[in-house]
Amino acid sequence: MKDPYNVLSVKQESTDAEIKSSYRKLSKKYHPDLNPNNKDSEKKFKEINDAYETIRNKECREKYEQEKQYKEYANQSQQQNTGRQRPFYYETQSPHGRYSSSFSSDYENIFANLFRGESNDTNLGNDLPGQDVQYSLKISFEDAVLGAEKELVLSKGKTIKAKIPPGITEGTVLRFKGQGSPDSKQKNHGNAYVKIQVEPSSIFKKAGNDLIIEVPVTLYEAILGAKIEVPVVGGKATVTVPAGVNSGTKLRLKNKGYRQKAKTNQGNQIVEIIVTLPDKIDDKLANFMKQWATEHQYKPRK
Amino acid sequence: MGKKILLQVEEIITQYNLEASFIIMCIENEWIELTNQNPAMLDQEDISRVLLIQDLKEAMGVNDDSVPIILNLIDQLHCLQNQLLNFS
Repeated sequence: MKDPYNVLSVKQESTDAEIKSSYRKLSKKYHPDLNPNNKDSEKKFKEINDAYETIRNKECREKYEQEKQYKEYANQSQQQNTGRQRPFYYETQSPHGRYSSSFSSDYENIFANLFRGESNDTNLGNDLPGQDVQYSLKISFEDAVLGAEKELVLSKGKTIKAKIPPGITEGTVLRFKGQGSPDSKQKNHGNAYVKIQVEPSSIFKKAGNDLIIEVPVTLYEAILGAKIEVPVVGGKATVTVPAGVNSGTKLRLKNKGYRQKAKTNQGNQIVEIIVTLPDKIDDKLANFMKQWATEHQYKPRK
Repeated sequence: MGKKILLQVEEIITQYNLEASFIIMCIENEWIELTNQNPAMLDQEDISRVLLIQDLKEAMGVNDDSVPIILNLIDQLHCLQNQLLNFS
């Protein structure tokens, strides 16, 4: 038998409490049920138990010291203090233990998924559904008003043709069914959601469904009237400037608003006249106006 | 699996140097479930479980409240091990 003090890593002067503390510490470390199938642990645990039984208290230690003097002690104590021949719990658990079998239904499905690839209700991340994907698409003002077909590049290089309806507004989200990420079996796809961003126009202002544009006219166009060309979304249109028009006068182009290509609520294009003087007033014009002013006074500021 | 060997409580006390009161305490706390009630008999699994409980309490200083928790965890571990073996 090994020296019990060495086995328990204690000194001969150690107290009962110190011996017990060391015994417990080593038991936790080497217990076979905490180290299943480890024969070294099992052997060590038995040594620890034997050692503790031998020196657990003062009386046992004195008896050990006395018996140590006799040569037979080694053989005898090996038989006496072997500790019980016992089954350890882990030895009774394979292939199936009665107590551990109560958990089997909890884990069977999990392992069926992992090792056989079978699908069932347990979702371990191997059964992910198709995922929806979010995109953002910036379009020109003209495309927003008139509608367009845009090629949209999705993840992994896939492209789809996105039909932009005319009159679409900023922040509208278009849904493209089945264009999202696939599920784990590559069968069902989620949807792609495309949020529309509209670039503002440099010449048109949006007021509800109406479009407003400021159009400069010459002095003589304003006085005499004229047919002028004005921008409209996607092109040009001819507008009749009535004679004697002032700055601020609004001319309406019916159904030429933001939703002009839509079926309802098309809106109008409003042309706001800005009477513009020539860059340089020559002497002839100035002298004419002096003369004209003396004969045709009027008071616009009342 | 070999033939189950059942031992009566008296035999177990003698063979494994256990106290009857300890085995009764394990039964009353439902830490073991008897295979046979009358007469009270334990199989190897129960015996090893009782000895494990004794080790937990005496060798490792585990208190009574912690014993069922530790047993539960050990049982779950063994179940997982067996399940893994089945699928490997």
